[in-house]
Amino acid sequence: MRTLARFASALLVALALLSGASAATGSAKASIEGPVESVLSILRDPKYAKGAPALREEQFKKIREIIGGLFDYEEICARAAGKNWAGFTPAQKTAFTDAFTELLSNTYIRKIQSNFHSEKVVFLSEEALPNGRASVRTRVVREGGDVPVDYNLNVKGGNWRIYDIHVEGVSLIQNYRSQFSQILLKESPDQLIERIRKRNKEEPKQ
Amino acid sequence: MPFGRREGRRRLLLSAALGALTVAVAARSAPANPSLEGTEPAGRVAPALPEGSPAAEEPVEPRPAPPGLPAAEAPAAGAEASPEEAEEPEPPAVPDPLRGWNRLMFTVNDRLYFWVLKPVARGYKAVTPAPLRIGLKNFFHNLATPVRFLNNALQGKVRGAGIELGSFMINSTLGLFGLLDWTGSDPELQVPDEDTGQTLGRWGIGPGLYVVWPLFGPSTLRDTVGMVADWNLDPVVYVEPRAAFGINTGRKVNDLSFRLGDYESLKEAAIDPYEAVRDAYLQYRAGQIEK
Repeated sequence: MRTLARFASALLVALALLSGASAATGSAKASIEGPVESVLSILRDPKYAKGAPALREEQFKKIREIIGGLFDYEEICARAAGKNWAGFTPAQKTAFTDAFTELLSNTYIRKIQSNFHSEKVVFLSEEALPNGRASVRTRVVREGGDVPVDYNLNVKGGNWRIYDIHVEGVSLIQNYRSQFSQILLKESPDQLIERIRKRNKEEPKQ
Repeated sequence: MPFGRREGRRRLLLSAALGALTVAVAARSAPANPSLEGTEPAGRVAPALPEGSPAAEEPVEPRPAPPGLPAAEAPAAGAEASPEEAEEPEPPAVPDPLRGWNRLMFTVNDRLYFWVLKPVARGYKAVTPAPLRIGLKNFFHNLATPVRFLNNALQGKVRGAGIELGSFMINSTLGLFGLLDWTGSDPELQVPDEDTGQTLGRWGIGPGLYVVWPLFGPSTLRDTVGMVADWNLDPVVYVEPRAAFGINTGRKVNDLSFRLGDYESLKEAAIDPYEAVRDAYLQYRAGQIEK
């Protein structure tokens, strides 16, 4: 009887550990569903509608805080630089990562801030990819037709992290890779980094 | 019968253009490089090599090939350097020997968009209620059913062809000549839009080369042939040419009223907008052909 009880409790502990382990990763879909919903609710918040620049900035920072941790920047940069990445010095890699990360968060967050028209996001399905990666399919519902948006994720440090986004089947990272590889045909990595920095300094147009 | 004569001339022109371009495409893609077909690029082979294989490490990449030479495809083979990319083979490169012309036309279209199309579409959107715009969009979409029906059929997509035909019959009658889209909201009845460029792609014809047309924007040789064929499958081509131009301009402005800001987003996030649009177009078309 005693042994049975001990066995049962051991089993319980094992089960708890198991579920704990899987909770660390959980489903890829669940890991972005929550953050996307919070971003949408911030975008919908009437407090920020047509707000003063200070409020806009506050909204921007809130969104960046939520989605900042969702991305695997290391992988994103390596993929965007493509086969040229190996030729970057460590200093260039850091500079490129900083500049490119800023480009991504600035342009895209500011764009959805100014272009948000009460779109909804429907989470469709999750699909396993090779090497423990996953793809989460969503649709952005908006006036005049839906836009399919798929997220590719991998596991980094026990958490799902986005490393690519496909909009209408177009990979964002592949899109940057083709731009960067064209530029790197004629220019050095430093010049490319300078171009990205210059872009970051430009005022967002409406 | 001026109508008949004009029709005859148009058909002749079309078939001549089709013939010439198909030959050009076939000549370019078939012997030069089978990887243009996009199904089994050399990239798929790379991941099978031991990790970081020396071949892939090689920094020399004879990329800036002289215009039009098949060497422009070479990078597709070495592109799979990092093992993480194993699951997504890089799309085969589509040569861009007309880069000079294309960049110029890109600028022309860009100006046209910001100076003419966008202000017009904005003004139109401001004065036209959304239900009417959606109605018109549905109407034109319904009208272009022959393009999608025929190309579903030509690709052997029986279900797609059936859904297109059924939707056309329902929406043309119960949907008041297509103004209402009864089938569009049913997720079971969603099939990808097929066009002649996609059918040619399915049949194994490569994109040939990238080309930017004034007004019509990014395309490839194959998709240009497809576009001309699609025009002729669209009933609007059978009205008087000037009226057809007016109708198509209206259609374009109406469509644009739903997509204002999309081009701006792409352009502003890009470091090289020309290259960003080129890549987005080629990726988008490759994805459409696969579906």
